[in-house]
Amino acid sequence: MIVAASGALLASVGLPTTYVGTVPHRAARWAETLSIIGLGGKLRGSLVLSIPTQLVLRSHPTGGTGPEELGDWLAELANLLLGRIKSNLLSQGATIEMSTPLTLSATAFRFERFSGTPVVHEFDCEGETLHIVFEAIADPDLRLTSPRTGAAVESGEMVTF
Amino acid sequence: MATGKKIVVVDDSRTARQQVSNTLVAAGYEVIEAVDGNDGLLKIMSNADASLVVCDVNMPNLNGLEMLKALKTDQPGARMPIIMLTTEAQPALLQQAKQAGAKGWIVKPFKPEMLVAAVRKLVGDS
Repeated sequence: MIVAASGALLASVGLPTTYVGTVPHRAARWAETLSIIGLGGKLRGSLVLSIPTQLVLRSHPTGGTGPEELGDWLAELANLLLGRIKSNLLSQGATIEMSTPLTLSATAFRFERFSGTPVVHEFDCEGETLHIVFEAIADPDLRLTSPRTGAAVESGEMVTF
Repeated sequence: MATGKKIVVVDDSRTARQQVSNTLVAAGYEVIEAVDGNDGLLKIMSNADASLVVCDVNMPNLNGLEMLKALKTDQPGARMPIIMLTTEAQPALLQQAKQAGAKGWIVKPFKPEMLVAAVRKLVGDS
Protein backbone atom coordinates (compact mmCIF):
# COMPACT_ATOMS: atom_id res chain seq x y z
CA MET A 1 0.00 0.00 0.00
CA ILE A 2 2.75 2.48 0.96
CA VAL A 3 4.84 1.70 -2.11
CA ALA A 4 1.89 1.89 -4.53
CA ALA A 5 0.55 5.13 -3.04
CA SER A 6 4.01 6.69 -3.06
CA GLY A 7 4.72 5.73 -6.66
CA ALA A 8 1.33 7.01 -7.83
CA LEU A 9 1.67 10.34 -6.03
CA LEU A 10 5.23 10.95 -7.23
CA ALA A 11 4.26 10.10 -10.81
CA SER A 12 1.33 12.53 -10.59
CA VAL A 13 3.72 15.39 -9.79
CA GLY A 14 6.12 14.54 -12.60
CA LEU A 15 8.51 12.29 -10.71
CA PRO A 16 8.35 8.80 -12.24
CA THR A 17 10.04 6.36 -9.87
CA THR A 18 11.23 2.80 -9.70
CA TYR A 19 10.89 1.00 -6.39
CA VAL A 20 14.29 -0.25 -5.23
CA GLY A 21 13.23 -1.97 -2.00
CA THR A 22 13.72 -1.50 1.70
CA VAL A 23 17.10 -0.38 2.96
CA PRO A 24 18.65 -0.34 6.45
CA HIS A 25 17.86 3.01 8.05
CA ARG A 26 21.52 3.66 8.83
CA ALA A 27 22.43 3.15 5.17
CA ALA A 28 19.83 5.54 3.80
CA ARG A 29 21.18 8.72 2.17
CA TRP A 30 18.74 11.29 3.52
CA ALA A 31 18.06 14.47 1.60
CA GLU A 32 18.95 17.77 3.26
CA THR A 33 15.28 18.48 4.01
CA LEU A 34 12.72 15.96 5.24
CA SER A 35 9.01 16.35 5.73
CA ILE A 36 7.21 14.56 8.53
CA ILE A 37 3.52 14.10 9.18
CA GLY A 38 1.98 12.29 12.13
CA LEU A 39 -1.01 10.00 12.24
CA GLY A 40 -3.29 8.89 15.04
CA GLY A 41 -6.41 6.83 15.60
CA LYS A 42 -6.34 3.10 14.92
CA LEU A 43 -2.75 3.47 13.71
CA ARG A 44 -0.36 5.81 15.51
CA GLY A 45 2.92 6.80 13.92
CA SER A 46 4.48 8.99 11.30
CA LEU A 47 5.33 9.30 7.63
CA VAL A 48 8.69 10.72 6.58
CA LEU A 49 9.54 11.89 3.08
CA SER A 50 13.11 12.40 1.90
CA ILE A 51 13.31 13.83 -1.61
CA PRO A 52 16.44 15.46 -3.05
CA THR A 53 16.12 19.22 -3.45
CA GLN A 54 16.50 19.12 -7.23
CA LEU A 55 13.48 16.82 -7.50
CA VAL A 56 11.42 18.99 -5.15
CA LEU A 57 12.39 21.95 -7.31
CA ARG A 58 11.50 20.12 -10.52
CA SER A 59 8.10 19.03 -9.29
CA HIS A 60 7.06 22.31 -7.67
CA PRO A 61 3.66 23.08 -9.20
CA THR A 62 3.98 26.87 -9.19
CA GLY A 63 7.69 27.14 -9.99
CA GLY A 64 8.84 27.94 -6.46
CA THR A 65 12.59 28.02 -5.96
CA GLY A 66 13.29 29.41 -2.48
CA PRO A 67 13.94 27.20 0.56
CA GLU A 68 10.61 28.12 2.18
CA GLU A 69 8.68 27.39 -1.01
CA LEU A 70 10.43 24.05 -1.48
CA GLY A 71 9.93 23.11 2.17
CA ASP A 72 6.26 24.01 1.92
CA TRP A 73 5.87 21.83 -1.19
CA LEU A 74 7.68 18.92 0.45
CA ALA A 75 5.32 19.24 3.42
CA GLU A 76 2.33 19.31 1.08
CA LEU A 77 3.62 16.15 -0.63
CA ALA A 78 3.68 14.41 2.76
CA ASN A 79 0.12 15.62 3.32
CA LEU A 80 -0.99 14.35 -0.09
CA LEU A 81 0.72 10.98 0.39
CA LEU A 82 -0.74 10.38 3.84
CA GLY A 83 -4.13 11.40 2.43
CA ARG A 84 -3.86 8.63 -0.17
CA ILE A 85 -2.74 6.11 2.46
CA LYS A 86 -5.58 7.21 4.72
CA SER A 87 -8.11 6.59 1.94
CA ASN A 88 -6.65 3.15 1.29
CA LEU A 89 -6.80 2.30 4.99
CA LEU A 90 -10.37 3.56 5.15
CA SER A 91 -11.34 1.18 2.37
CA GLN A 92 -9.96 -1.60 4.58
CA GLY A 93 -11.86 -0.51 7.66
CA ALA A 94 -9.19 1.54 9.45
CA THR A 95 -9.73 5.20 10.26
CA ILE A 96 -6.75 7.39 11.01
CA GLU A 97 -6.33 11.07 11.81
CA MET A 98 -3.64 13.26 10.24
CA SER A 99 -1.53 15.96 11.84
CA THR A 100 -0.31 19.00 9.95
CA PRO A 101 3.09 18.32 8.32
CA LEU A 102 6.42 19.96 9.12
CA THR A 103 9.83 20.02 7.49
CA LEU A 104 13.30 19.69 8.99
CA SER A 105 16.57 20.72 7.35
CA ALA A 106 19.97 19.53 8.54
CA THR A 107 23.38 18.53 7.28
CA ALA A 108 22.83 14.98 8.57
CA PHE A 109 19.93 12.94 9.92
CA ARG A 110 19.86 9.80 12.04
CA PHE A 111 16.48 8.13 11.98
CA GLU A 112 15.57 6.00 14.99
CA ARG A 113 12.47 4.48 16.48
CA PHE A 114 11.81 3.50 20.06
CA SER A 115 11.75 -0.22 19.34
CA GLY A 116 12.44 -2.36 16.31
CA THR A 117 13.96 -1.33 13.03
CA PRO A 118 12.51 1.43 10.84
CA VAL A 119 11.34 0.28 7.42
CA VAL A 120 12.83 2.64 4.87
CA HIS A 121 11.46 2.36 1.34
CA GLU A 122 13.88 3.45 -1.38
CA PHE A 123 12.85 4.73 -4.80
CA ASP A 124 14.92 5.77 -7.79
CA CYS A 125 13.95 8.71 -9.94
CA GLU A 126 16.28 9.04 -12.92
CA GLY A 127 19.36 8.33 -10.81
CA GLU A 128 18.24 10.28 -7.75
CA THR A 129 17.33 8.44 -4.55
CA LEU A 130 14.14 9.08 -2.59
CA HIS A 131 13.26 7.54 0.79
CA ILE A 132 9.87 7.12 2.40
CA VAL A 133 9.32 5.84 5.91
CA PHE A 134 5.94 4.81 7.27
CA GLU A 135 6.03 3.82 10.92
CA ALA A 136 2.88 2.95 12.81
CA ILE A 137 1.65 1.01 15.82
CA ALA A 138 -1.79 -0.54 15.42
CA ASP A 139 -4.49 -0.72 18.04
CA PRO A 140 -4.77 -4.33 19.28
CA ASP A 141 -8.37 -4.52 18.03
CA LEU A 142 -7.57 -3.30 14.52
CA ARG A 143 -8.46 -5.81 11.79
CA LEU A 144 -7.94 -4.78 8.19
CA THR A 145 -10.65 -6.03 5.85
CA SER A 146 -10.56 -6.68 2.12
CA PRO A 147 -10.55 -3.36 0.24
CA ARG A 148 -14.07 -1.99 -0.40
CA THR A 149 -14.75 0.40 -3.26
CA GLY A 150 -16.66 3.57 -2.50
CA ALA A 151 -15.50 3.77 1.11
CA ALA A 152 -13.81 7.10 0.44
CA VAL A 153 -13.82 9.80 -2.21
CA GLU A 154 -10.97 9.24 -4.67
CA SER A 155 -8.16 11.77 -5.23
CA GLY A 156 -9.22 14.39 -7.77
CA GLU A 157 -12.93 13.67 -7.33
CA MET A 158 -15.59 16.15 -6.26
CA VAL A 159 -18.77 15.64 -4.31
CA THR A 160 -21.45 18.34 -4.41
CA PHE A 161 -24.01 18.82 -1.65
CA MET B 1 -11.68 37.97 -18.78
CA ALA B 2 -12.16 39.44 -15.30
CA THR B 3 -15.44 38.47 -13.65
CA GLY B 4 -15.20 41.14 -10.96
CA LYS B 5 -15.86 38.47 -8.33
CA LYS B 6 -13.72 37.75 -5.29
CA ILE B 7 -12.91 34.32 -3.91
CA VAL B 8 -11.29 33.67 -0.53
CA VAL B 9 -8.79 30.77 -0.57
CA VAL B 10 -7.88 29.30 2.84
CA ASP B 11 -4.99 26.83 3.09
CA ASP B 12 -1.98 26.60 5.39
CA SER B 13 0.21 25.38 2.51
CA ARG B 14 1.53 28.29 0.48
CA THR B 15 2.02 26.00 -2.51
CA ALA B 16 -1.56 24.76 -2.34
CA ARG B 17 -2.86 28.33 -2.02
CA GLN B 18 -0.81 29.41 -5.03
CA GLN B 19 -2.07 26.47 -7.10
CA VAL B 20 -5.68 27.36 -6.34
CA SER B 21 -5.08 31.11 -6.74
CA ASN B 22 -3.33 30.69 -10.08
CA THR B 23 -6.20 28.55 -11.33
CA LEU B 24 -8.89 31.00 -10.22
CA VAL B 25 -7.04 34.14 -11.34
CA ALA B 26 -6.60 32.56 -14.78
CA ALA B 27 -10.37 32.00 -14.81
CA GLY B 28 -10.95 35.70 -14.14
CA TYR B 29 -11.49 35.82 -10.39
CA GLU B 30 -9.83 38.04 -7.80
CA VAL B 31 -8.35 35.93 -4.99
CA ILE B 32 -7.89 36.77 -1.32
CA GLU B 33 -5.57 34.31 0.47
CA ALA B 34 -5.74 33.20 4.11
CA VAL B 35 -3.28 30.95 5.94
CA ASP B 36 -5.60 29.15 8.40
CA GLY B 37 -9.16 29.15 9.70
CA ASN B 38 -8.69 32.17 11.96
CA ASP B 39 -7.16 34.19 9.15
CA GLY B 40 -9.91 32.92 6.87
CA LEU B 41 -12.64 34.28 9.15
CA LEU B 42 -10.88 37.66 9.29
CA LYS B 43 -10.44 37.82 5.52
CA ILE B 44 -14.05 36.84 4.93
CA MET B 45 -15.31 39.46 7.38
CA SER B 46 -13.19 42.14 5.73
CA ASN B 47 -14.27 41.00 2.25
CA ALA B 48 -17.98 40.72 2.78
CA ASP B 49 -18.51 41.11 -0.95
CA ALA B 50 -16.62 37.86 -1.70
CA SER B 51 -18.63 35.40 -3.77
CA LEU B 52 -17.22 32.09 -2.54
CA VAL B 53 -14.71 30.42 -0.21
CA VAL B 54 -12.35 27.53 -1.06
CA CYS B 55 -11.09 25.99 2.18
CA ASP B 56 -8.66 23.26 3.27
CA VAL B 57 -9.62 21.02 6.22
CA ASN B 58 -6.42 20.13 8.09
CA MET B 59 -4.92 23.42 9.24
CA PRO B 60 -3.35 24.66 12.46
CA ASN B 61 -5.12 27.01 14.89
CA LEU B 62 -8.63 26.72 13.44
CA ASN B 63 -9.26 23.90 10.97
CA GLY B 64 -11.51 24.13 7.95
CA LEU B 65 -14.54 22.42 9.47
CA GLU B 66 -14.32 24.62 12.56
CA MET B 67 -14.06 27.67 10.33
CA LEU B 68 -17.04 26.52 8.29
CA LYS B 69 -19.18 26.08 11.41
CA ALA B 70 -18.12 29.48 12.78
CA LEU B 71 -18.83 31.13 9.46
CA LYS B 72 -22.28 29.69 9.09
CA THR B 73 -23.35 31.06 12.46
CA ASP B 74 -22.23 34.58 11.68
CA GLN B 75 -23.07 37.12 9.01
CA PRO B 76 -21.93 38.01 6.36
CA GLY B 77 -20.13 34.72 5.75
CA ALA B 78 -23.26 32.67 6.32
CA ARG B 79 -24.45 33.34 2.79
CA MET B 80 -21.18 32.48 1.02
CA PRO B 81 -20.93 29.13 -0.72
CA ILE B 82 -17.96 27.08 0.48
CA ILE B 83 -16.01 24.36 -1.28
CA MET B 84 -13.75 22.19 0.89
CA LEU B 85 -10.49 21.27 -0.87
CA THR B 86 -8.52 18.70 1.09
CA THR B 87 -6.65 15.39 1.17
CA GLU B 88 -9.37 14.08 3.50
CA ALA B 89 -11.81 11.64 1.88
CA GLN B 90 -13.62 10.21 4.88
CA PRO B 91 -17.43 10.08 4.43
CA ALA B 92 -17.98 11.13 8.06
CA LEU B 93 -16.10 14.37 7.44
CA LEU B 94 -18.03 15.01 4.22
CA GLN B 95 -21.23 14.56 6.20
CA GLN B 96 -20.06 17.06 8.81
CA ALA B 97 -19.23 19.57 6.09
CA LYS B 98 -22.58 19.04 4.39
CA GLN B 99 -24.46 19.53 7.66
CA ALA B 100 -22.44 22.67 8.36
CA GLY B 101 -23.45 24.13 5.01
CA ALA B 102 -20.59 23.38 2.59
CA LYS B 103 -21.58 23.13 -1.07
CA GLY B 104 -18.83 20.84 -2.30
CA TRP B 105 -15.86 18.66 -1.34
CA ILE B 106 -12.86 18.11 -3.62
CA VAL B 107 -10.10 15.64 -2.75
CA LYS B 108 -6.58 16.88 -3.56
CA PRO B 109 -4.81 16.92 -5.89
CA PHE B 110 -7.51 18.86 -7.73
CA LYS B 111 -8.19 19.09 -11.44
CA PRO B 112 -8.15 22.81 -12.35
CA GLU B 113 -11.03 22.49 -14.80
CA MET B 114 -13.15 20.75 -12.17
CA LEU B 115 -12.49 23.47 -9.61
CA VAL B 116 -13.26 26.27 -12.08
CA ALA B 117 -16.47 24.56 -13.22
CA ALA B 118 -17.63 24.16 -9.62
CA VAL B 119 -16.80 27.77 -8.78
CA ARG B 120 -18.56 29.10 -11.89
CA LYS B 121 -21.66 27.10 -11.08
CA LEU B 122 -21.80 28.25 -7.46
CA VAL B 123 -21.23 31.95 -8.21
CA GLY B 124 -23.62 31.94 -11.15
CA ASP B 125 -21.08 32.34 -13.95
CA SER B 126 -21.83 29.10 -15.78
